[in-house]
Amino acid sequence: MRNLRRAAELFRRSVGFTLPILVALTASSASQDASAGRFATFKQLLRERKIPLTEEGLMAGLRNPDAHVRYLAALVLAEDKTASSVPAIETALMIEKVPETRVNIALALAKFGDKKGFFVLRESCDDAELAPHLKVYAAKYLLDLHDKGCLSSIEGVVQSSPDAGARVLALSQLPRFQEVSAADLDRILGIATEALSDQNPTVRIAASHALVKLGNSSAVSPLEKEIASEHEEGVRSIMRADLRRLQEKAGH
Amino acid sequence: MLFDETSGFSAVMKMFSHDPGATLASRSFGGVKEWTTRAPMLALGDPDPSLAFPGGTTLQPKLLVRNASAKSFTGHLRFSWRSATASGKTAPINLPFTPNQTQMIDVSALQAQRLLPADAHWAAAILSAPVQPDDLLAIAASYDQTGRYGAQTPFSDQLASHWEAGKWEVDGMHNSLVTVGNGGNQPQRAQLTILYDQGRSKYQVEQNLGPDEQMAFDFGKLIRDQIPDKNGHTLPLDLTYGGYRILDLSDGAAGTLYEGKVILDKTYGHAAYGCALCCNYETPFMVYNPLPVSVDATSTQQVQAGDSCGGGNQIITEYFPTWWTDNTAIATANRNIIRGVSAGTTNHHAQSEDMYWGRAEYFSVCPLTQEQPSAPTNVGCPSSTTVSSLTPLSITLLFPGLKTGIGAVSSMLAGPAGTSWNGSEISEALATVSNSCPANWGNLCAGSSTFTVGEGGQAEVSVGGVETPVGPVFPEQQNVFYDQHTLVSNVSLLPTSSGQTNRTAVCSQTYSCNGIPVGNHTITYSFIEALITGTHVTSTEVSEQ
Repeated sequence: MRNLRRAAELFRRSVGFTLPILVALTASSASQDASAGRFATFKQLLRERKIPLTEEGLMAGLRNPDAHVRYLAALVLAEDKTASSVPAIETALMIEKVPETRVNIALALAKFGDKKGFFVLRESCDDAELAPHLKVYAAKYLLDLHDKGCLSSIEGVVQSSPDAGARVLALSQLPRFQEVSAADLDRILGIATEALSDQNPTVRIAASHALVKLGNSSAVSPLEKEIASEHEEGVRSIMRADLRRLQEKAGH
Repeated sequence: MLFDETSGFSAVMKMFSHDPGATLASRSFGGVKEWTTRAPMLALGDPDPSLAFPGGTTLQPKLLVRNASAKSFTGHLRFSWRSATASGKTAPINLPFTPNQTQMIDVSALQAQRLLPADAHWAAAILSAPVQPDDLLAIAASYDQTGRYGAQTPFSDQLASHWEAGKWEVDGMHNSLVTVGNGGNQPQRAQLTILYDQGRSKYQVEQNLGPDEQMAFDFGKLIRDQIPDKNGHTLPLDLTYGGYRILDLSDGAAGTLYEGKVILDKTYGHAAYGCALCCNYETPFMVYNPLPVSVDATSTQQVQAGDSCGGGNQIITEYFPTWWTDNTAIATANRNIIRGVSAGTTNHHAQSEDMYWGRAEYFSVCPLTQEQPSAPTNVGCPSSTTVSSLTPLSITLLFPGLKTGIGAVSSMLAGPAGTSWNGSEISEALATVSNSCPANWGNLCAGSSTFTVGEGGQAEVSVGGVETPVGPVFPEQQNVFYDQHTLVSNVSLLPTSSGQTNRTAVCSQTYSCNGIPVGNHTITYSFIEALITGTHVTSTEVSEQ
């Protein structure tokens, strides 16, 4: 079953724009589309879901059966600074059962400076029952709001989460903890360095990227050692490029 | 407080504040020609039965009026009265004043002269004079000969669109009487809302009021007689207290209502007055400060202000009819639509209608002014872009729906810092630097997008034909725009037909604003074969420098 064609649209975030690419495959079972996706504003995402962007429509959106709509409505209300919606968002947060939606609604509330929003985000970081990637979302949102309260939670995800995707995401957030104590910085560097030898190649790459972002010369030697022992060419190539950037950044 | 234990008399000794800097313009509420102050509920000689004074009680209403200025002038006093069955207005009475003179006006005598009907129970006393605010001070009191029974009513010049009042009481020993009057020279639609059950329930009455007209409420009667409101709603028979609100429905910015309230305490026979709080917007400000706008493009500005009686910030742009900029060669204003003309910075301004403001420094009055908020307008483009952070989106987020994917979202910071570039539009162009991917993957470094600085959002990809938001959300951040680099498929693109387990494409990327390059970056896409629970997948790794 040769000459099957699949339409592939690769990359690039665009507002409604993707470029189709044709890929010839040799297996019929693999005749599937690839696509790039796009970065959409909260309002675009709500429009796609036919939610009116009026205050009334957004307030109703907080109670929509679609969990995406509930948090998107809260975020647009926050974006529009509709202060009168805060009690309704607080109620939505209180009754929300979908963990990801709850964390995102907490962000919307925190954008208003609401203490309950911050409280739920901090609580989410420490929630042992919460999926690791959602803990990292909460930590990221707090960092977006200039709150560094979830460092230990991020460290915990990198060190012990079984979810490689969560470990990758957590590593990407580690360098965002700026102006930490020397002890915290040492620990962050140690955790990122340790992750260079993670069994998952994507985690090793994320650790390498994190060390470049941290820009500390103490990471050069461990990175060189890992490159020497790295058995996957693709990973090794990325680490080499990272090493060059780290050396430039650290003044080597 | 003045009191006489022997007779059981007591009265509030009202104090007056006098601001010599207060202008007549800021206190010409309701378009009055002379400064005007009103006592809303003067109890007349024949007391209202609602006051529950003993039969035969006769009150002696009096006004004490003091000229606190060193000028001579003629003041004017008029009354808006009501009896059990009728209401009306008197012609103005001239009151000549010498400097610093105090006069007592015996309202009982005016009733005896039939200037006011003998059977009228209440009157609003309206005093005006060609003076500066508070140059004329007045108090009004009505007590019987013994001083045992009676009531006071305070003078105030304040009119407002919105009043919030405190506790009213109705029970075996109390009753509350409220009036709402129109102090302006135009008819107004007045709304009284009685709030109870911790503010969860309300009872609403609306009425058109001509100049100097009042509407009067006996809260005890409303409850006892189960009088329905405009929605057919009645107050619970066991209701004993609550609050109330008054709104001028005809003019939310510069309405002309005043209010009066007395709470009767049958224990002592006194009716004590209460004062409501005028409410309105606090200091207005521009929402976007600074406001960015590109050349030949427009940005919409909004004015916002908090409400002095709560409710948080609200958009009040509708009350600002006049807009302008300092330099029309840089930006122009058409109401709140600001257009960029050429690169540079200039301030834009808005002026409100002549309306009430509830600013904290004026507490507890609401002056009438035209406020003028301003903000800079930055016309032009950022001149740099840097990668602030890169948030990887792992295939584990959407596995097993996807078997190739997904990538990252770049947070791009527009610069230089110190200027708001929010709202600027950034376009991109891509070119291939190198590509080790199979030729039939096509051109990976293709595409064009437009980004708006300062907008938040979320990555979205197709999973099984359904557009699906994925990963964390990215809230709007000052000077940041987001760029998504993802590839997804529900099959694993690796290994290739020739068995290769990794592939790389490197793209150069140029961001431009108004056609001028503002940032050059390199995006590296690495496709790596991986296993998730024994299933082959292709992980898309992205870095951007």
